[in-house]
Amino acid sequence: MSRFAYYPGCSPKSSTTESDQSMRALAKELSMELIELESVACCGSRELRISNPRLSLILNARTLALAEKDNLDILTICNTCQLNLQEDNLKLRGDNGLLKEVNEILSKNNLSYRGTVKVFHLVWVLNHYWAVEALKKKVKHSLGGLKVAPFYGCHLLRPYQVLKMDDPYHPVSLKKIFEAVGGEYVDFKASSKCCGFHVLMTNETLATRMSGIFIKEAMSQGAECMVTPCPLCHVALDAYQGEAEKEIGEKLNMPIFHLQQLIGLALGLSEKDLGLSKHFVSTKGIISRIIS
Amino acid sequence: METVKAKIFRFDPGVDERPRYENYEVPYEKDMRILDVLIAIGEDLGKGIAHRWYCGVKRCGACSAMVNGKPVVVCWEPAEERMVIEPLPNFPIIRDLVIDRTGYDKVVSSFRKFLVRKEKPTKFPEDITHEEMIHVYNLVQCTECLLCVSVCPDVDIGYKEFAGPMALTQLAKHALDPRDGLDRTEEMIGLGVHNCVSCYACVDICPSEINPLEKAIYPLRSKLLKTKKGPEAKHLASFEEMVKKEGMITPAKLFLKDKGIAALLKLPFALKMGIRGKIPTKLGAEVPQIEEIRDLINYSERENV
Repeated sequence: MSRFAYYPGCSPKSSTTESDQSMRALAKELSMELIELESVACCGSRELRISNPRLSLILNARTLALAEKDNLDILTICNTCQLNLQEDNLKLRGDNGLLKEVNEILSKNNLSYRGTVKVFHLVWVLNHYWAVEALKKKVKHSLGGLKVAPFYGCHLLRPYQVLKMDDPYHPVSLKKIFEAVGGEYVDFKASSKCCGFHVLMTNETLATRMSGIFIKEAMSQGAECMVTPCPLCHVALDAYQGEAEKEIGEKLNMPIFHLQQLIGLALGLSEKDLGLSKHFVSTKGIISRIIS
Repeated sequence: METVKAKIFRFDPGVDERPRYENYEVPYEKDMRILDVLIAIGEDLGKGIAHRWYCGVKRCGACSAMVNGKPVVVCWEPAEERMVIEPLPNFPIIRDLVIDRTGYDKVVSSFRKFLVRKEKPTKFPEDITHEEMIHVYNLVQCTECLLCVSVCPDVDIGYKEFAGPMALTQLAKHALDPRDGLDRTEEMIGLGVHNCVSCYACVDICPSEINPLEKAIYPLRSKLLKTKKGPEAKHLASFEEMVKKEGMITPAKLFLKDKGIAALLKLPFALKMGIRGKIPTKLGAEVPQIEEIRDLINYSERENV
């Protein structure tokens, strides 16, 4: 059994609770033990990186120190959390002076960080820890060639120098997972582009136009549904799809799954376990197709 | 490899009805660059493919093109056995690989691309530390090659209220210079610095490794925040305040704080979110042991450690 310090992040605890719920259900199925880091702060998203990057670094150092105290690596299910934690981890590990400075602050909480923790996103864990081949053996409802368009999300791939997980121009990590559970990977130009989430609150027009155009591109390539490993992309693509339709003046009606939900369906988990009724765009058509 | 096979985009808008691709093959030579392939096709095969280049050493930013789906400066990349060479996307085409840069040149010349001193320096050389200048020195390396613009998703969808990473890097070069005395608030807002979506595409593609996002755009946004002007000032301040008070962000509460009374316009959307359990019953619940987090923040701010 693999054990992780689980850092769901802000969105899965409020606006995409189904991503947290489905992650817990999937973890059980894959014999992964998730020890939630409960008393941790926000990773800083983009906002704190702009307004107060130092505070963002200190809070992330605290999160890393708490995981280290339990002798665990961190599992994330949000691309932006992954990037921020990994970036700050690299900064701290690569700069003894900075680490010493930050540890002096952490001492206020009786904590210190030595730099031993690794931060993994679910996609990384599935591709490397939990070999995709092993996933194949657990499939109960193969997706039967369902045409699935990936939406990787920016902060899973870029900046490559920090993440080093997959090629930002020709990513394949989701392809391996979709194919393992019987889906057909719909490769489309915008699969590694931006959903616009990080300007959603300040410029909804820009964000929804961006997500609308990219969903439409997936549709034009024959996708029956889209899958994202990031809850923030899910908000932009699913919850705001109605606004995106208004913005681009076209009906989209594209079901959007969290990665853990799609895998969960293939592994025989129920709709309820995976929180699929919480979506804005109905996933019923796809679910009945998979189950039948 | 013995030869290089290149499939090249050809289009002359004044003559051709539509673009086409033509295949060429040239002998491979040791250490051959993509630029050498284009030169060989022109000089040895006598094919008049239009492409720009001047310095040949990654300093002039003229020879940018799309090679096998990735934008590159062709003088700095090795030739591959098979290549599809196209002009940079999202620009009008003058001919073949030559794009029309006029739009971006106009943007860059629209703001004051020079330092404006408030006071004359009291002595020469001035007392400026390396730490104060390192950001600016880094930004000076921008060659305006436009690779960052070609991968920017704002540009890709034709959004006009964002000037693009290259123009903002050029602005930052002056706005972040400690010697600059000009209030550049209106320039920053006018170029739409707040409309960057933080996708890091410009960071990954920059051949000069400038990191336009974190070294130009974020510092500009941070500078703008200090003026309390611009469309995101309230949002950024509310976000930081919420993290300091509650530890985590509750998006629904953040939205209310951002929009105030205007949030009522989104009531139908909020109801849909609520029905689906996407708004917590207690808005703004604090994370466990929030006191520890607050202590940490207070200590680091008070002591300025």
